[in-house]
Amino acid sequence: MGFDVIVLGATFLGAGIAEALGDRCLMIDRRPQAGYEFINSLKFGHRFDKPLKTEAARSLLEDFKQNGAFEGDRICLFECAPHFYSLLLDKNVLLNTEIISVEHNDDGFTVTTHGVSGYRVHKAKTVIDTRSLPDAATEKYLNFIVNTDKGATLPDRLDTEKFGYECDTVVKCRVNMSDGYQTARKKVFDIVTTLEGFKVAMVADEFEYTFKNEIPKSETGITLFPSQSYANPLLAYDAGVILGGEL
Amino acid sequence: MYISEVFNGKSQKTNVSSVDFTETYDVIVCGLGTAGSMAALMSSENGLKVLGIESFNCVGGTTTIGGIQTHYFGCPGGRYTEIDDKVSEFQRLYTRNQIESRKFVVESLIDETDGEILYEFSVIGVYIDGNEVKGVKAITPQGIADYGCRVIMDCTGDAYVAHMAGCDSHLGRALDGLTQPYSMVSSTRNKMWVGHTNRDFGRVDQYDDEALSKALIFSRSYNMEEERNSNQLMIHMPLIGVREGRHIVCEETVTMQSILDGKKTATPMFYSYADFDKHGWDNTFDGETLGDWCIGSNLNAYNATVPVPYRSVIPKSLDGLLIPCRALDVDRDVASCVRMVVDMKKLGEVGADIAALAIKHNCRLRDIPYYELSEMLKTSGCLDDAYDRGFRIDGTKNWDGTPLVNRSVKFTDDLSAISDMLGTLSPGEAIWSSRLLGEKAVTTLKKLLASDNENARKHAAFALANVGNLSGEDVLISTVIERDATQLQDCRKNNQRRGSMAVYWLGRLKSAKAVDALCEFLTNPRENERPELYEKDSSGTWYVIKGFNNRYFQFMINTVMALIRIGEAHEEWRAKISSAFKTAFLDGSFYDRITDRPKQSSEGNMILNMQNVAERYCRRWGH
Repeated sequence: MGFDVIVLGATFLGAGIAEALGDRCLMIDRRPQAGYEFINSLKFGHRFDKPLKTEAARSLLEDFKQNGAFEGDRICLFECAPHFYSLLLDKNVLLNTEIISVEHNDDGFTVTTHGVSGYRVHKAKTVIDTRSLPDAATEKYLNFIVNTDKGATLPDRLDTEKFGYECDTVVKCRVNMSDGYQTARKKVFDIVTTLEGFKVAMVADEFEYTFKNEIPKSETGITLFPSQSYANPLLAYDAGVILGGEL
Repeated sequence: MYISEVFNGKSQKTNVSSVDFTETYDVIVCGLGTAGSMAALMSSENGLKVLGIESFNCVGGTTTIGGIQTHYFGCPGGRYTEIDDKVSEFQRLYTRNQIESRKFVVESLIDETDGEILYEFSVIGVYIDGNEVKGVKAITPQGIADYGCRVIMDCTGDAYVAHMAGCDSHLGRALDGLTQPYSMVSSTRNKMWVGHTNRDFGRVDQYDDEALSKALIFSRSYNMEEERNSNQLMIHMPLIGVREGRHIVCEETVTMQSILDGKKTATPMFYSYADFDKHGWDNTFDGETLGDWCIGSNLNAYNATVPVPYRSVIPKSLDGLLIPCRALDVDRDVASCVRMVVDMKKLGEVGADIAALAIKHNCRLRDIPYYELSEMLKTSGCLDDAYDRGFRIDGTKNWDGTPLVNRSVKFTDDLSAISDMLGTLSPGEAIWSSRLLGEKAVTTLKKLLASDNENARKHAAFALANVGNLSGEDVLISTVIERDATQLQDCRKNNQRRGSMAVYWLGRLKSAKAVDALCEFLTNPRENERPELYEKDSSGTWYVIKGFNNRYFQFMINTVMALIRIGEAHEEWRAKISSAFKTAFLDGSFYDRITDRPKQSSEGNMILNMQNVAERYCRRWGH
């Protein structure tokens, strides 16, 4: 079956493209989740005051507001995740699916995947990669949430962000670009074991990356748009809807 | 040598001249979940060179990214207990729950023992030479790589690797091919406390890319408002809780019937222990053995001990491959009892020990000396004959909230005791004892059919049906016609209603005489309006699911199954039964009478499947 667009990465930006293109679009991701680049990386984002250009993104913003994303002056996206998944209910999405290869040929692209039913081949005119490709990144973090019931305070040396839950703090643990999850988790607990009065509530399932100002072009003709390079998920979604509308 | 891969669901072999393996190991563990993480760690502790491959980015599977931190029954003992202690201690000091501590502690222990872990790797091919596996092909973040080994442990839970390698398997129930419903766990917050709540969703074909993706998305679109009370939602866990998948055909299999018959393996690796933990409310579709035990005899919450043979993890068709995970060779009825967290941890230990022995003796996996394996498992406590305890009732609270008396269950051949028990509201053990006695019980049971004691009369009809005797047919039919709502009391949960049990047994007896009564029940659009039957929550022993009239559903689905059994046996009744099915399911009103939950919900899924099954039989019968 051929699609106009195959989106690599079940991201907020990818969901925006899918929203604009409907059945003409297929989203593929190796992970079992969607929207992980913000929600599961604990990168809840900033610049939520920046105007959104599409009705779809403004509608998602309203959903987020109604679900407590912006209570007080803090941001928390946990309660918003189900609304994001709702957007994908009627879309073509393959989660848990490895992308084996992407080949550019005269007819467009051939994407070979490997999922629970083995190898499959998909065709599309355009391929857009919205994943957080390390080649385009400058810094890498494994974030984690700590909290205290002892009135303790975190040392200033830590890079922290308060978020929706009063007693919680997101700590940003910078790791090397070459570090995998095992090494990164070790670095997280190297920090945690030095903290007095705090315990870990959650360690992110995904890395947070920061990106170069200019995303490098792919040599294979794939358009690169890392969703996580946007300041917040709504801006990424907004950009996806616009991009999809232009295709 | 050839490589075995899967294309569009089918295993396919391609000859390869030679493979330049990136690295060669004693053991490659595919899937580092509950079983696989233990298999990798313990293989490494056993001195083997180990590679663990995991498609996600942490160890633990169901016990970490699946959100399950506690366990349901199972027998204690084994090397996992020491690891669990370390996880608990780390949690006490540093984390709010076991999830993060387990991820960190277990991967650190694997690292300390020089085991190698590769996250975000997926196996996409298996190299096989003759009849022996030689290695795997994997997709990695850096591209494709090949790894050689002496033993592959398929700990994927769903037997993806064994299926890829072309092993034979069995899956799902005979009637409709379905498996148990999946659940999704979400972490929730209440101040400092990080808890987890779960919900059963509909069935999923986890071997179909689109179906699995839809299930992943649909379940995460729920905000779990009912389940989490006023707690805040944190995050939906990355792994959904698929309870049942393929079982690989191995050197030895375990069936529920063999357990009920008291047959034991001579070479156990450990004892599983739980009730036949069915999820879903359509158990009448699960087959006769499970149905006779759970519905017909009301013994669904009785616990059974299952001695699990070590050869149930050694595939018949290939050497060098082990299945120390949920996909071991047990039938689906008994699988619901052998899939607990503790069992999976023990399977990891057994897999590690079998691999170590095969390498030590330079023999095939199936040829390892069992006495050495059993010594290893007994030393660790994994195999402890003290837990070979047969059937038991265990738990904390009884159906009415009173303390549950934990006890061993012995089925009796004392006809007087059977008669007495049948006269009570807890007749389950007597109904099953009668089955074990067979013809010897019939005379006594027939006498009870004339008893003034309503319990004795009706329960004797159940017991007679359980030995295949039709003498109680009229009593069963009258029990249906009067819509007997009496809820029995054998179990701590999910006790059956007597009318529903009567429907079940009429089906098992293939009673043509019951067709009129059953069709009348099925087609009456106002049947659900009998408040004494379907609206009153008589004892609280069934989980209450908001917007789902489970009491009515039980009568209805048992009736559909009964009519199918009767129609299969009596061709002359098929037209009438088909007509009743069409009338009952003609429009969507039957759905609305049972639930207002969405069609994709677990309950909606079961209701629609009931309709589909009925329609399938109409077509099969040419109506």
